[in-house]
Amino acid sequence: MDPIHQTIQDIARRVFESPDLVLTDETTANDVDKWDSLTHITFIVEVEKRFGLKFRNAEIARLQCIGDLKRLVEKHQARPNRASA
Amino acid sequence: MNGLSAPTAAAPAAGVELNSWAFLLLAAAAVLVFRTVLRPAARAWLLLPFNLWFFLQFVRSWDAVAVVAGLLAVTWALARLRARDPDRLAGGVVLVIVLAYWAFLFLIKDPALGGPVNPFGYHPVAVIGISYMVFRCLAVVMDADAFDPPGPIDLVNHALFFPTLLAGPIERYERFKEFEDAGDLDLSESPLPALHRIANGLIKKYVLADSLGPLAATAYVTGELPPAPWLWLGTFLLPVILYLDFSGYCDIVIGLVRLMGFRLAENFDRPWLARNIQDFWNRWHITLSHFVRDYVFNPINSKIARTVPPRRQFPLVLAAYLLTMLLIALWHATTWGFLVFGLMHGSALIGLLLWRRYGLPRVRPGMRQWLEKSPASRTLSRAATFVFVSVSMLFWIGGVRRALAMIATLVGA
Repeated sequence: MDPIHQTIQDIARRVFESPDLVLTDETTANDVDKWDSLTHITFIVEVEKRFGLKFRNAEIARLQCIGDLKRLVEKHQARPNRASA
Repeated sequence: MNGLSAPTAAAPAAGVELNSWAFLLLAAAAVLVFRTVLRPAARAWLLLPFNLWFFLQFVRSWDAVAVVAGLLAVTWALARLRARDPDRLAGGVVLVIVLAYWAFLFLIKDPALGGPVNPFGYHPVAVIGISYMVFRCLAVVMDADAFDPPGPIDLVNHALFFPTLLAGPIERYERFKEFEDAGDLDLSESPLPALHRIANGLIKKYVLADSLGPLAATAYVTGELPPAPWLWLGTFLLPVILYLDFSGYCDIVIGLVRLMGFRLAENFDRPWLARNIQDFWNRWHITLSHFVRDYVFNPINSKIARTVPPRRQFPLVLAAYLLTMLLIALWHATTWGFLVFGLMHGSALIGLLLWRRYGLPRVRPGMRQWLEKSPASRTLSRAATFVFVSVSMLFWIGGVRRALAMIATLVGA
């Protein structure tokens, strides 16, 4: 498992209070019990803090699944601040 | 149209109806053009006359054209500025921009609002589909710090896209651009499902909703109130009529755009299955609630999560939920009835979150399992949500005084 995935999964387990949660790239909010609009932002902000990044609102609004989140982290690590259209 | 049409749905007092020959011809020409012309630049230029012609059918004075031109010019300029230097137009400046768009929307829609400071009070201007147009423009400005903003032609096409001009669905620009660029055009797909959907939409909107509407209109809006059993029937019929009218409209435009080779966002997902008010807004006018979630709730919630200590976050998040529901309600119209409607839905949402946080964890496991999984609990929660939504819509349609009189009759007071 790559380190970004592992880190995101650790954060998800804590935020969604589910110690056995296993994430795949295809996992969405619908697949996780406590993942709603309230916990969603807590989760994203925790990911930002852990990786030392700050996502833009437009990027957060377009996240559909864990794979999208991983790609967003990778993109910011490679080239901060600008998304591709 | 009758007095029961959803304010959000297409109900043009003049212009082109979706069941008219003029619209049929326009739609047929659009399907032909956009299934055959695949070059992006050509598609953008060809779409322009379709959009402008349709928009102009609803224009009764050139003031409306000037207002829309101004809105688009300001949007284009702000988006360019924000794209050029995302960190300069950020934070407080973005907040001012967002508030300005909302204020413009409220003031133009309600010339009586704001008294002497409302310029539209001196000179009212009616613009078809302005609520949707303002949201599309606001999203373009908000997204410009992360995504390339549209050029002038693309922006006009996006804001005035003729199938969605009257009442959405509210698409994001980058999705619309895929249509302009023929990104997900699949010419091998059978047109039958899209035609079926259009036929369904025409029946729902122009046969069922238009037949049921006048039947009950007097009870909701004016005249003597009927006895309680009839009024209950009318109350439960209300969301059904609104659903048939608005989702029928959506079926027509989603089907049409599918024939043109593109999938629009869905606006309804069997709202009668909603188990609570949060679930309801994920199933009813989805593109509206998701827009307000993404451009109001999430930015506020992110700010709270980044700056406020965890133990103090929850009350602020509840306030953000209430604000979100109030804005969704007032977006329809700035009336006391909609304000009460928003307060009811906001309060219900807060109650749900409080229950989940403080009530549910104290329920013993067996009971909790029953509440969350059993068919009986599922049915009860669906019924309760439907009753709540139906009663709240009385404020939407009839105004506060009339709604209170209706509720008094409903409960036999």
